[in-house]
Order: sequence, then structure tokens, then C-alpha cells
Amino acid sequence: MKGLFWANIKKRPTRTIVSIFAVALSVIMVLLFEGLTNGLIKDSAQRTKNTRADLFFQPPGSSLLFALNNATMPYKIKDKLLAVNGIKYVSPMIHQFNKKTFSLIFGIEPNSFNQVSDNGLVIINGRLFKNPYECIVDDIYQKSHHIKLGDKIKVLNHKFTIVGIFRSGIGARIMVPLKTLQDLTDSHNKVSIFYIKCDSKKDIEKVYNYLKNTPPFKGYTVTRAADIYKLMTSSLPGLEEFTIVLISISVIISFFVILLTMYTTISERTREIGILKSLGASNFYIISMILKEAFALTFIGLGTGIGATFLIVKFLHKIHPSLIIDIQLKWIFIIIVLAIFSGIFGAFYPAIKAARQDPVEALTFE
Amino acid sequence: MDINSRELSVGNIVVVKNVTKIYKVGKVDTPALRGINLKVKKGEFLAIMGPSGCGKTTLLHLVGGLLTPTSGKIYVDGYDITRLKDRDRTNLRREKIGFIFQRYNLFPGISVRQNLELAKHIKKDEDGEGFLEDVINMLGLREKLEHKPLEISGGEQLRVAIARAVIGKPSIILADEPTGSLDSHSSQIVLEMLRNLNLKYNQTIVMITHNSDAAAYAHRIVKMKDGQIEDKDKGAIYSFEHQSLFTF
Repeated sequence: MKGLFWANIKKRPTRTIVSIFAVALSVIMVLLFEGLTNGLIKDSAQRTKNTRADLFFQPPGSSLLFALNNATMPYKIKDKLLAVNGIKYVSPMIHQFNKKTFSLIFGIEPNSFNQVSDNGLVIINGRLFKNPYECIVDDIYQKSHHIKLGDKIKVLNHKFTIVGIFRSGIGARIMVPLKTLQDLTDSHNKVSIFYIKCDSKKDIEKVYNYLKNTPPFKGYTVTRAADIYKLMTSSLPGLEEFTIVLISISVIISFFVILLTMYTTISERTREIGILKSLGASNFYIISMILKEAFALTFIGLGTGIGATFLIVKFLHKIHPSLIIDIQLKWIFIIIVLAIFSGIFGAFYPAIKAARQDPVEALTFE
Repeated sequence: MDINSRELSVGNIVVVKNVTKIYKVGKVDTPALRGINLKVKKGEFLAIMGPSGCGKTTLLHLVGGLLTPTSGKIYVDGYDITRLKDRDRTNLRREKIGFIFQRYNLFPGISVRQNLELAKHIKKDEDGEGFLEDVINMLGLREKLEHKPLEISGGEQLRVAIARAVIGKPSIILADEPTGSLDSHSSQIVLEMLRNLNLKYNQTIVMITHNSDAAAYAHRIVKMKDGQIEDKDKGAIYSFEHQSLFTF
């Protein structure tokens, strides 16, 4: 049985390799997408959390993916927030996504940012920005882009001089003066978010409820730091739908590739199936033989896909060290289950067709 | 077990009663067998001869349970195979019947040994190792076990097909023109082997052949013409004196 199994797998090496690659490709597609989204969200959430802010205050209906929001809140809300009982510090910011560098940029006021983050912004080389077109970058950004102090980077089509390197893990990888970012985004005296530090941990819930229910803050989006990751993943517009579509495409690719492979296989092996039937092989025997072959192709495809995904991740990390790709075990498990399901299901019709072949017709097949 | 009729009680392993087979090709009915009656005794070596298209292979496929007759009854080792479900006919093929095809029908991608092991696996023949080894030696296949079928000669391929057919010690071996594509010397060797199997293991063999020299190895020759058995009263031809115990 094993001999025939491997002989059949090896019979058409090109077809076998193409099938394996097709399954692997769908695995890579899902794992990389999930890894990238999870990585970006998790990293973003973690760095936001590391700012040590207790609450985040945003315009009504805002996304927790901060970079998706425009700066629409008046800067002066800061004073109203500071007047709320239990709030100690407020740091206004603009979060901006830089398409060119595929990175997040924070427009900050260094003083209030350091107040909220308990001096979490640690400059390890250089200094904080003092002038409008100066910026600071984190050490990962510096390493991945091989830059040094005094170099210039382009942010929103404007050149900024790098004056400081800060320890990574907090906020964004690039930080510029809030005022400059307001000017560049035509958001004078506007901000996209306020980071809030409460007097103590016990005040967080009280302040949160107050902001949620008391005018003029009522209607604004308020998020606890503790909820940030969960809310980020659930509030990313279309993420869930896109994931479902992507997984469906992946399952359909695997299904059809295996279906086509096994269908052509059994068509070529009609005579062989006739011989097996003449030897007394049952329908179950023939079905299980075809399904085992499909399972092997799917399994090898899965292994190749998972292995290739990790190699691609390694390669991406080499060329983009700042890129966070978080491939979760959960998704590996999901893709294994789905690929096996689609592989077996794809082989089922050819297997039934093979088992139902008339033995005499099969034996006379040329 | 279906019946235990009088025919079976006198040692007939195959009984074919009034069997007809009509192939439908579109709206056209093509009769292949027209009321065949045939009995084969246990341990008999029977040759069926006849011109091409006379229905020999159809008869063999019917006895082997690969086809079902249009009418009539076929008993194989006590089973009325015309009443068996597909699954039961498969079981019957597995347990009671061994096929030898003219084109040998070996699996070309695997070795001789793997071909034999595959048959052993399908036939669930767990305790036939000694018997198989014996057959391998008897058929002179020991040196060829690791070769693939296309790496050995036609005569050797046929010997592998014979070895595969006897795995599981089936009640009956059905051979469809086994020596059809061999030269006379190779044919002779293979036919000697079939006769030895028949003698040593009391193996019932039904062999289709065009060749009267090959048929001469059988205990009895049945001639067919136009889907019928020709002149059945003259069907008893005994090639070997010591096996003349068969009477029909």
C-alpha cells in the first residue's frame, strides 16, 4: 500500500509540486496577513500602552487605530480635561500614518508627553527637538534605516532633521513637534487624541465614567489603556470581513487544487483502479487510498507553507527590522484544520468517482 | 452462502446456469452470451477456447463477479453471485477469486515485491507468508523481487501476475489469455507453472486461450462460439491420465 502510495505521489512530479505549492501559497497568504495585522496592531497597542497613559480621549466615532483619524478636536479641550477631578496630566497629540515609510508618526508636546508617560521618552542619543522641522526616531527605526543624528527624513513631503534617538517601545517610531504636524496637516489648533494620566489607578474608572456620561465630554470616544488591544482588533474597519474573505479564498484555492489534482490522477489511473477492484479492493479501500494521497499533498503543502512563512518573516525582518509580524499559534492551528478540511473535501468527489468505476470498463481503459 | 444445490454438492466450484449477457450500446442490444451452462469442478484445470468476440472474456468476468449477467445464475464456491450486492461481490473476489490478465496488469511504479505485498494487503492474507514464499520460489521470482515490472521480461511479468493471483489461496483462478503475448518457449514455462500450481495446491484454474497447445495443458477444453458453448458433450478432454477422475 505504501509503495503504491508513494509511486502515485511521485508519478507526476510537476503536478505534485504545483499542488503542494498551491496549498503552501494559500497557507503563506493567510499566515502572513494575520501575522502582519496582528503584529502591527499588537505592536501599536503595546507602544501605546507603554506611554503609561490611563485613558485615551478621541473625537466621537473614532477608530482605536489612531492613525486612521484626522485631527478634529480643538486643542483647548486640554484645559477642560485638566479641570476634571481625578485627571493629573493631559497630553494632546496628532497620530499620522506615513505611507512612504509605512510607519506611524506622533506629533507631540514633549513636556506633556513626558508628564503622562512618567518620563518614558528616554533619549539615548542626541536631544529632544526644539525647532519645527526637527524630529526624533527610536533606535529600531535608526537601525533598520541605517541613519544617524543629523540625517534628514521625509515626513509628509517635508524634510526633518533627526536630532535625537529615543529608546523604542513607546509611542511611534518617529516623533515630531505637535505644532509642525498641525501645520502640515492643516489642523491648526486641532489634535486627534488626548492621552490622559489620572491622579491614581483608583481614579481611572471614575474619570472614565465621568467623561463618558458628562457633557461636554459625553459622546467622545474614551478608552481605557487596559482595553486597548482588544478594542483595536475589534474596531479596525473591515478587518474581520477581510480576514474571512482571505481565509475563504485560501480554502477555495486548496479545495480546487486538490480536486483538480486528484480528479486528473484518478482519470489517469482508471486502469489501476480496475486492477485494484479485480483484486478485491473495496470501495472504502479505494476512497481511503485517494484521500490518503490528498491528505499527503495537503500535509506537505501545509508544512511547506508554514516553513516558508517563517522564512519569509525572517527575510522581512532582515530588510525591515521594525516590521512586527506576529504569527500566532492559533492561526497556524486554524490554517492546518482548514487546509486539511479543504484538501480532504476536495479529494472526496474524485475518490467517490474512483470507487464507483465499473471494474471491467476500468480494466479496458487505455 | 446462498444455496447448496445438487450441482454444488457433487464438488462443482463453479456452476453457470442459463446465463445470458446483453450489452447495451446506446439503444442497440448486443448479446454476448446466449444461455450458457457450465460446471467446473474443484481442482479442475479448464481451458475455454473460441474465436474473438465469442464471449469468453465476458464469461470469465461474470464468473469473477466483475460483471453481472442479464439473466441466469452463477454459483461460485456455493455463492449465487448474481444475487450478491456489489460489496459482497467485492468480498467474494477478494476471498475466492484470483485473476490473471493477458496484459498482466501489474502496477508499473512499484517493485515485484510491492505488487505482491499490495495484493496480500488487499486480500488481508496475514498468514500466507510461507505459501507466498513457496510460490515465489516455484515461479522463479526470487531474483526479481526488487525489480519493477517494466524491468523484467513478459514471461516474468506473467509469473508475477500468477503469483499475485494465488495470494490468499483463492478457490479459483481465472486467467484471460495469459500466454497470448508470449513466445512459445515462455508460454510453455508458464503453463507448466500453472499446471504445477493446479497439481500442488489443487487450485481450480479456468483459462481462456486461443492456442490449442496451451489448452492441451488443461484437463478439459470447452469451446465457445457466438455466445454459446459449442458441442458441450464433447467438452471432456483429459490431458493427464491421473486426473481422469473428473467426469461430466
